[in-house]
Amino acid sequence: MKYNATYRILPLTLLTALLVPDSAWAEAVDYGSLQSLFGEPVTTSATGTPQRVSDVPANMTIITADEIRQSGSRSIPEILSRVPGLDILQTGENSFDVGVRGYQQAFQPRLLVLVDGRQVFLDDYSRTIWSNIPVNIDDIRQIEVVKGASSALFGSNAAGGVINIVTYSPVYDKNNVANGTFGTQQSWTGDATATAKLAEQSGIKFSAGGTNANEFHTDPRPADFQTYNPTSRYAVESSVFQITPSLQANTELTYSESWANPGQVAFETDSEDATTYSIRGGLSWQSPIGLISNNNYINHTFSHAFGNGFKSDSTTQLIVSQVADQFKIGTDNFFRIALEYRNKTYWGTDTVQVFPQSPYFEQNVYSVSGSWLKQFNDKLSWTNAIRIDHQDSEQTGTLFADAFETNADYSHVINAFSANSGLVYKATDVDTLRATYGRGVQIPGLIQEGLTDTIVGPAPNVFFDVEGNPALKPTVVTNYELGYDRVIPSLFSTAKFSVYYEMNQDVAGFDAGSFLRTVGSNTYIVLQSVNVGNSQGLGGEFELKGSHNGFRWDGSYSYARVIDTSGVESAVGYEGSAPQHHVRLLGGYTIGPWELDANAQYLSSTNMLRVTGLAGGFAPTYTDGYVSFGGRVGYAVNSNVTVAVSGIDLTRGTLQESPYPAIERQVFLSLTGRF
Amino acid sequence: MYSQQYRRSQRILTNIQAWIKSILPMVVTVMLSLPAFAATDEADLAVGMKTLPLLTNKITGTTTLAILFDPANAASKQEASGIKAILDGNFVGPDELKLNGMLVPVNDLSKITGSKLAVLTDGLSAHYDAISAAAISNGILTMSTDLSCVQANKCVLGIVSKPHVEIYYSRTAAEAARITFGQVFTMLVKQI
Repeated sequence: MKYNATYRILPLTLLTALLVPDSAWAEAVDYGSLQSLFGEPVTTSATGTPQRVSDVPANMTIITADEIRQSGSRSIPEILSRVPGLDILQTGENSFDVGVRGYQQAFQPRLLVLVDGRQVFLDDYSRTIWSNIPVNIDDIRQIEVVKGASSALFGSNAAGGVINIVTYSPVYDKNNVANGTFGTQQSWTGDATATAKLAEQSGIKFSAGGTNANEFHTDPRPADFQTYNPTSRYAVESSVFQITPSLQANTELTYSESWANPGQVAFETDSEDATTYSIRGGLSWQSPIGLISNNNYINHTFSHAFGNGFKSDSTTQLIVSQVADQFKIGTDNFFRIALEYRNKTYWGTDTVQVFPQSPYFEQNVYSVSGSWLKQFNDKLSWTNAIRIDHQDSEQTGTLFADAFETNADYSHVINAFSANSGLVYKATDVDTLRATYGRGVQIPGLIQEGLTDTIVGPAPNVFFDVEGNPALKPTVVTNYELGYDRVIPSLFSTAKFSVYYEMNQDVAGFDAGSFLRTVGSNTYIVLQSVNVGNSQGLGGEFELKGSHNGFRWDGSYSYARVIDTSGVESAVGYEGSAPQHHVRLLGGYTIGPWELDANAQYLSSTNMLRVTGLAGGFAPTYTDGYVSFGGRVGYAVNSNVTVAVSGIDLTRGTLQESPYPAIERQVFLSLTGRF
Repeated sequence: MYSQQYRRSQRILTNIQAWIKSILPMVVTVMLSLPAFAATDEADLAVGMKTLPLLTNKITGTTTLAILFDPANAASKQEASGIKAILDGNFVGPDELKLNGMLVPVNDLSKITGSKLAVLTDGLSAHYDAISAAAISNGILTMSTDLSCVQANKCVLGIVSKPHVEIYYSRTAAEAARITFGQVFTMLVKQI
């Protein structure tokens, strides 16, 4: 069954290849030249169509390469902490989850994460292992953050938002950089990127790096496993080749491995070694009928994890093939139509399970999507996007004899509909208004829908029987938002306001549905993910950001209120999972070779679910609000070499940010060379 | 009582309709209007040159930029001299492109031969046809801060640099002069 997927992607690839004529130049997006021209970043993440960030019909923030450098951080989640509306849950030195607008949880399933359009979000539990992302921080051109449901463009998993990490192009950018960073927790990090131009429009890029550190020595709970020293390794090859004047091809190979002790769905920390390989190939063709792009990739992740009562070896594989056509009709109508095929598979065993079994679970997703951007005039535009996903699931392999669900039960179909609509009105040269609507769908993950496992129970002949739930319904997220941006020339700043309301229907809770079954002399405590209820979120963000005469500033306040129904509150606990109030103050000054940056954040209290004992129970755990300070001092020794000192949580030795183990102060010394 | 309320609501509705009718032409005019013309300065020139890496047939190394002016128009002459002074100064184009400015009077457009780029000064509207013909025959990318030139499909690019960058693009003029930009660029500019 697993080999069928490879053949299913062929039609989409051939569709592109067969249509190729020889006309104008093919092109990928030259982000650098476009940002230089328009004086602001350009993105394709909001609608699939290239847009200036001030034009996008979505709440989008773009973190630029300069801002990444000035943050002094070597970790993407720490860089994301500067974005209003995002909250970071750090459960270990290199273990993070990123929540959007009050919806925080370990193994965050609501935020889709991509690197150059390739999904690095892992479909097993539906989560992102941030330390397993194969990217050099110094090779990131920009990080694009979209808040709110975006699955009409990106598919399921983009129910709460999207993060697209865009790296430098091997053909348009000449990025040669090496960095060494040393710091507290006996940490050291080394990263390097080398780019070579092969021809006028062809180039190749190699990146490699890794980090070693000690885990925080703070208060784990008895059920927490913190066996590994945080470690990561990665290597990436990416290339772009101009095949004909009209056709560009790209390739990418990646390897990454990480050892971490992440918080997980049972509200405790496990120890996990994850290894991911990916291979990608794509085409970009400027055709008579528009810019046609084809993207194909395979992600293959092996996870070795162990924790309180389990030890598992599992494999998750994702095969994706996409074809999209972007074109313009007349001068004011922009269209994007796309077809996509996804094959998601999960197989693995709990090596301490009671009854041998070797399940093999597979989901096939067929999608069609389209967007239409109507530019009524210089001031008014309206974007609409829809997507239809058809998913069929199948369980093969061997289940244990007394399993509650049979292989046949897992064969079922989910049809899902996503939509986005956004109205952008540039009332004046300095005022922009946005009204957006999004309907996102979070399709159940592989493990929620297909895992089977048996674990020793609390008494003789009593066993925990963890089973996927094929009857699990998708979570539907509906989002309404109003935004207003105003450029304030007298303050050299831009002010941004937004208010939103979102409804999450049929939220799924891990192991929330439990019941007893007796088969012969054995009693099984069946644990299944079930739909536990609804959750509403409302809030807003305000940000004032600007720069002048070497000074830069970014102050923001975000408010996020979440209201769960009782089922969601007890099983997932979104309400209280993230601070309602979050204030960020970032400031910096560049003078000659010096770059000085400081940041302060205030986060109000949280009441997050957390494991209570070895038996696996959990309860809301209150954490006080706190203030944290960080900063960076950089000195350019010459045009190639920069030395910097940076720090996180500088004012205290340890900081209890969440009910997970406290965060220790971190200070780094780094040396960066650009050539 | 009910009919009084109904008549009052009808009067209010009529007043609102009259008010909308009175302001609608003004709103439409404001919404559809293009920015006013401004003489080319260094910021405009910088924006214009930053479009060059987005050409499919890239211009690299050293190239000649024709500065078109009307010798009979003092303002045009002065503006042309100003552009030439900017180029002769420390102005560096994108990708280290070196630009040599060459003054070309509109009454002697034969001098434009050999240029790949041309910038128009103010006051040339009477010469748009001749300029366009010269640009087409020589395959020249023409730029102007006078957006009427682009609207008339006589110039390829109209440049606005303040308060924020806007690029106006005549596909008709571009195709006639065999100038091709990438499709991503054409999706980001205002196409005439």
